[in-house]
Amino acid sequence: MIEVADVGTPINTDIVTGQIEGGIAMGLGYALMEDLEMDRRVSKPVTNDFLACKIPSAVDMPEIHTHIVESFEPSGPLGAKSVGEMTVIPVAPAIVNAVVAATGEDISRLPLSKYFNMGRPL
Amino acid sequence: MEANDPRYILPESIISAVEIFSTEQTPAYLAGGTDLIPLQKSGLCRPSCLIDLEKFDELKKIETHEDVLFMGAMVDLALVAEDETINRLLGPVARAARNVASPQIRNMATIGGNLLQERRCLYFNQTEFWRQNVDPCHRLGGNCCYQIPKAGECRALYYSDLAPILTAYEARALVFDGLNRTEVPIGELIHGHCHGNLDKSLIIGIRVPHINDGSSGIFMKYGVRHAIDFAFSNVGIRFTPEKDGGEPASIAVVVGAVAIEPVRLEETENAVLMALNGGKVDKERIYALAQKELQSRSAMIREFTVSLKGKQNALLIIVDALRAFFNALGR
Repeated sequence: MIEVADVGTPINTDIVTGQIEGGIAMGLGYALMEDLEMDRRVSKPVTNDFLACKIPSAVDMPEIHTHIVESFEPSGPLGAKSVGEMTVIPVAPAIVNAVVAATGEDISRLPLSKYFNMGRPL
Repeated sequence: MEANDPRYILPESIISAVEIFSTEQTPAYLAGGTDLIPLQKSGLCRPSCLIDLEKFDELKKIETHEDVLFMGAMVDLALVAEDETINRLLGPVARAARNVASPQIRNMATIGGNLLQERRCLYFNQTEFWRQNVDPCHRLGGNCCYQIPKAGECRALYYSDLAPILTAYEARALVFDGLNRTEVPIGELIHGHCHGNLDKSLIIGIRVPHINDGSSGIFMKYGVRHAIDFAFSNVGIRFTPEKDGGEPASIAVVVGAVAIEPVRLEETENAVLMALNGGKVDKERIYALAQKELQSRSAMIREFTVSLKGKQNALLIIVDALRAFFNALGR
């Protein structure tokens, strides 16, 4: 997974890189496996903890490459923009685009674990 | 939600542990606690006392005796996964242990606990708050099943990752009832446990044969995540070639996490043996037979309508496992 982020002027590049990596993890879970399921039989959500609502674990994470693009945002503190939320946004579209390109499927819902038999043997 | 407050007992001997267990109203043995404590916290288990097995070194041994490997019931899964002897003699068993939960949990969880874990279902493994305005299911003393509505009994699934491969290897549990030590086939132990018929006996350890007879095995687990995930299904396969004395080849194909106890695919086993003996292996026919047999043996696959992907994945894993088995044999 490669992500490039324009964050304005980074103040602490290690923290910015960590934010990008964290955003990738969140986007990955959103795209592939996280699902808040409402069950019709009991009229309640059934994925109420992180065992059932599956966020990626460390061993689920791909190789990550990040790059910080520096610019200057005059309205931001010391030229900085934000970084935390924006790094999540492009991840799911990137993954879905890749899957669509590979499979030709027309995907309009997430997570992809509901579309495909994506668990692979451990 | 806090766990209830049972008495904590640290017995000095196995005999006293079993004696205490037999006299208490609702006792529980405490090993790693990775299954028991969460059940307590969610109010699904309210033992009157916890009998800690920590002091019993005999339950923590790993030993080989001629053609059998013994693993104490209190051996933690991290050790099973890393032990050189187990990896050398029973690689698929080590692999199964390596795929349980996460490293932190494997450091605490034990073989005995993994085999005697409670069956699970999304409809009762919830907090007391969640359950309070839902009619109780069979597991909770009610008369319905949300997973499979027409079921007249609890259909919660048994998810142990060690169970299929140990069953395939014809492991036997060494148990102690307070007076005598006896061996029980692991399948029989699990059957009793999953049907709530286990007596007060303490599991001393597991004896696994087939370590020196040329047997080979496959373990496969299929899940969405690679850690802390209960499987869509898990598969254990053990194949023992024909022996010099004329004892015929044998095979065991066991699938877990698809029913209330592991399912043995005997028709598939016979088909594989016949194919191997006959020289020509029609793999696609065997795969189709395995899927059909699995479907017939698993009410979850046949009748659970909520998770279509879960059912499909369970049917895929048996094909993957058999494919890996044939590849390993070079067929």
